[in-house]
Amino acid sequence: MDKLLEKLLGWSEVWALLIPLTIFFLRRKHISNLLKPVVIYLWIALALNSIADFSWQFQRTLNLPQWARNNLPVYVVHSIARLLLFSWFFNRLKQPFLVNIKKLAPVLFLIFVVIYFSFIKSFKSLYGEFNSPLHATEAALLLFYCLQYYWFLLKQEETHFSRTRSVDWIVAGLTIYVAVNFFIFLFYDALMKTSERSWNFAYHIWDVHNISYIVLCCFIAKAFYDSDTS
Amino acid sequence: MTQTHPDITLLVIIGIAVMLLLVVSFLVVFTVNQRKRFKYQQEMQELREKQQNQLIESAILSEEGERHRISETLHDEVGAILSSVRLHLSNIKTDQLDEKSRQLHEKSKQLLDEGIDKVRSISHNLHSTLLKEFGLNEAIRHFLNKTVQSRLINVETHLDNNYLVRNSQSDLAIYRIVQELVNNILKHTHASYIHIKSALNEQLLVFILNFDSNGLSQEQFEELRYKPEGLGLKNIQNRIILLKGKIFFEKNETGNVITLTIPVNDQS
Repeated sequence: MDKLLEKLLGWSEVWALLIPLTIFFLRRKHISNLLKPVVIYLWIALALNSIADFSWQFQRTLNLPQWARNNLPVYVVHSIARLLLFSWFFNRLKQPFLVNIKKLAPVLFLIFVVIYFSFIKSFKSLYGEFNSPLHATEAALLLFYCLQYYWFLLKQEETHFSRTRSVDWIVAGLTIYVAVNFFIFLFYDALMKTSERSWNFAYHIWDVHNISYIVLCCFIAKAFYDSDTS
Repeated sequence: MTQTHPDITLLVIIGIAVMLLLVVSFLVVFTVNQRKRFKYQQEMQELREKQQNQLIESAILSEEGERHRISETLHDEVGAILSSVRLHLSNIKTDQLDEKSRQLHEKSKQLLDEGIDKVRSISHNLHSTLLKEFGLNEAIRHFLNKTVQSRLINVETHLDNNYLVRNSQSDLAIYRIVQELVNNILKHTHASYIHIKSALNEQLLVFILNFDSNGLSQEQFEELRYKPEGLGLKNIQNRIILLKGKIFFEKNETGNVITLTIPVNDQS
């Protein structure tokens, strides 16, 4: 039973994505164009997570070559893609609030990534470690996007509760995901390096990440279910 | 090295717990707050619409009252005077008059008859007695016959006889809308035909007006009803709001269609 649960959680980053993608297929004519970046993200995430989980789960059984056993670069690419696509999503909402900062955030993040791998860490660290600062920065920026979304809605005199319901679900899911994972991302590298016990803790805490990822996918699925192009 | 381990794990656990608690509490409070605001907004909107409808209703009622007053004055006072003049004119002995005076006398009688007819017609149009006594369909037929009788225009009516008087105020509003639409067609277009059709189902009464020549599109109607010269169209829209109905103007190569949809359940 424990093994089954472990397998289920281990592959959750792949099968959880199939929940919103199924709803997307069933209701694709009704999905608002506003949600396009999220749809693209789901496809990219499905491809990247499949590679990451495959290399992690089958590294020993299939005797994969050394370079294919390391899924850390895939997570970096995933992180960059997620930040870029969700910033595109938030910028498409046309909320006249912190417009320049919202547009500038993905550019700054890309500059940070280039500086990080050029000057702070070597490019080899892409393979060798989790790169906590990069993942934590991504989580912080996404959290900023989510909070500014709520701040804008609170400032509004009129509420369009029913009209933005679909977007609300996605932002709520993303808020929970980044809030839960900010500290995981921030300390994950340290946890993996500190001791064997802390490595075990890091191994198990990734299940918390996976559960929050399932929650995010369920919220996106609900957003697709509620979406109405009219 | 080992000393830092419990600190980090504890920090991660506390961090996750605090963030999760904060975010979930925030989302719950935010959602409840937004729902409350949305409900309040809806209530305010309903209240505004109710007040607007009351204003429209009282404006229409006062306009209708004024029409009645003018109609009665025309019929009872001007009509009576004109009839009296006609009587006096008839009593003039024309055999004592010369040929020219006799011709003038005849012409005066003829013009007076036309004047009496005109006053009666205006009075009937302004008054809604016919509507109250014979119902909406008969009132529309009578109005069309009277209005277009002197013009070279083909008028056809296919009105659903299953529609009986349900609410005299609503019927009056429908009658006034049809009156205004027909008057607009006659005034602003060179239509060679007007076909009016009505159909009733359990929930809706639908009027369809077909005519040729240059009519209005929905966009033109929306634009014109906000202009000072579009007072008639504004009145139509006000009555539509009051009836909780819809009006749609369609313009194409084959002609023009005006569709009037009125819910009848509200009126019963």
